Amino acid sequence: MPLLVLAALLTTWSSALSENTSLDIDIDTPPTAKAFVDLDGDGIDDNFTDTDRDGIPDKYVHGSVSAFGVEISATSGIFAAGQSGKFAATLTTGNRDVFGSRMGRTHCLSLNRGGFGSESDFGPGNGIGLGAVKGTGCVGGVCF
Amino acid sequence: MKRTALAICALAAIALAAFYAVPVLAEGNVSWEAGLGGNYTNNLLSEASGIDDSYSNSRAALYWYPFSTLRTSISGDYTYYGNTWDLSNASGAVGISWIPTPAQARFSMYTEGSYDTRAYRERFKEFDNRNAKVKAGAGYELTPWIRVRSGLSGRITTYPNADTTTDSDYRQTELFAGINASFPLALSLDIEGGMGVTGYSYINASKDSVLPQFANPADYLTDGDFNSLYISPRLSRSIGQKTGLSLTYTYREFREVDAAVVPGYTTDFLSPWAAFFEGSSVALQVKTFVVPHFVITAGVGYWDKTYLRTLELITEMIEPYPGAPLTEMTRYEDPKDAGSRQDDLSRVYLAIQRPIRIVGIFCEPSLSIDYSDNDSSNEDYDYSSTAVGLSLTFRP
Repeated sequence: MPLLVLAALLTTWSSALSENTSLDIDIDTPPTAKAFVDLDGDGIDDNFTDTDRDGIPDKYVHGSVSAFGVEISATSGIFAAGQSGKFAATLTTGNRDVFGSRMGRTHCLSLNRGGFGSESDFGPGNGIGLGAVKGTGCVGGVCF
Repeated sequence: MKRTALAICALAAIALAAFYAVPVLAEGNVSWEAGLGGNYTNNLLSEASGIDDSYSNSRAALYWYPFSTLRTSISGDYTYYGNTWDLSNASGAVGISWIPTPAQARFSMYTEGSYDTRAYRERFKEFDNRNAKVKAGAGYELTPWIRVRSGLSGRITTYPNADTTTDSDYRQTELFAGINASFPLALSLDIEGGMGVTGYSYINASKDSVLPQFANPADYLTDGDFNSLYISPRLSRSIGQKTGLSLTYTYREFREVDAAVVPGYTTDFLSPWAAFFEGSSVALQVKTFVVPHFVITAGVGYWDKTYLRTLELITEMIEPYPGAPLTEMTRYEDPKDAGSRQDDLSRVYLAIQRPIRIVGIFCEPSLSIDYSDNDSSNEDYDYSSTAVGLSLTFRP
């Protein structure tokens, strides 16, 4: 009985939390970035894509919105397969990439710059005990 | 019969675990990050003594994404100091983040909870600390050019091994709101403001103006709150397509702290109160990709800081009785005489990163140089420091 209850709870919980990682994208009319967006304050347009997630934008063009940047990168072969200029595709990705694309849009929700210790956001590191890994900010909807 | 039922239950539990674990542990649902770093600074403690040291650090983090909306993490790091080796410390952290809103939605929401602990070696164990943090925020895209946001965060910090003369535990609640607007010519304006309430223990200088000889300051502590307000406009824009520029101003003010004096190691670099200052700062930062395959960031910043009033331990030579030899005695200064340390800090830094992908593993060597110059009302904190760091970051 406890197992059944647990299973029911897990199923309910997973249904509530999960979202289908398949995204329907109309290749013919991809979402178009209408404006320069800079949520992380690095002066670089957040709409640029970064398909290899190395922190360097790989497309200095608008039209490939960051929200889809990672998903597109995860199945870039789909474009090669497309013979027609007009079709809709369903991209299936891992949870990590979908979460990463969501993270880009919520960057300024996860950090507030007036908090205590905000000085540590400035520069390559500030003080004792900081880890070796220093984030480079957000590009293409992915925060590093 | 009972045994059979138990066996069936066990098998069912294993099957259930496998049913849930296998798909969520598949590639794309798990990630990791590791880092190694070597650093040198000619002023380890950021004070006039100018102790130089080299130190290395290593860090590893594991992320698990059971759902596309949820990230869990566990991480740890270790920092080793060459000369001041007993300052070496280790940290561990667990966290969970939930983002229920799709990336392309106009409404976005973020929630996060984390717990971390840091432990030093015996000599500095009084600085061991634990932090529990929660955060929630929501944003809405009013138009393609204007976005608004607001959030709330809470934090509890404790020092389990603090010495008996102080109580540096504190708790904070912060509320912030902001607006981000896009303008023609690749210009972005972001204004953020907020307020916070910090609960802490302090000595009321208006009440306890004189501490008796050999008094323990901890006996005079009283619990209370102080409020803080901040406003921070930021202007950023791109110059060409590969260079970004940002200018950030922040002003923070404390309320109802005039009579409060915090005891203990307040002005020490590791102090629990080191980040508690009011004042203003301005920072100019540049990020560029103009050199192929490199990420170059640089910045210059200025801060004027006024810390909380601090109860200092005074060492003086006194004559215990007429004709006796001078003897060194220590005592706490009177709370009414406690002053606020005021600093003017200037910093400049340059960081160069070179992302490389080797056999499917992302590797990023980076070099950073940082120079600081500080003028303080307390001459013990008039200093300059230079730090150079090399690091390697790995992730899939």
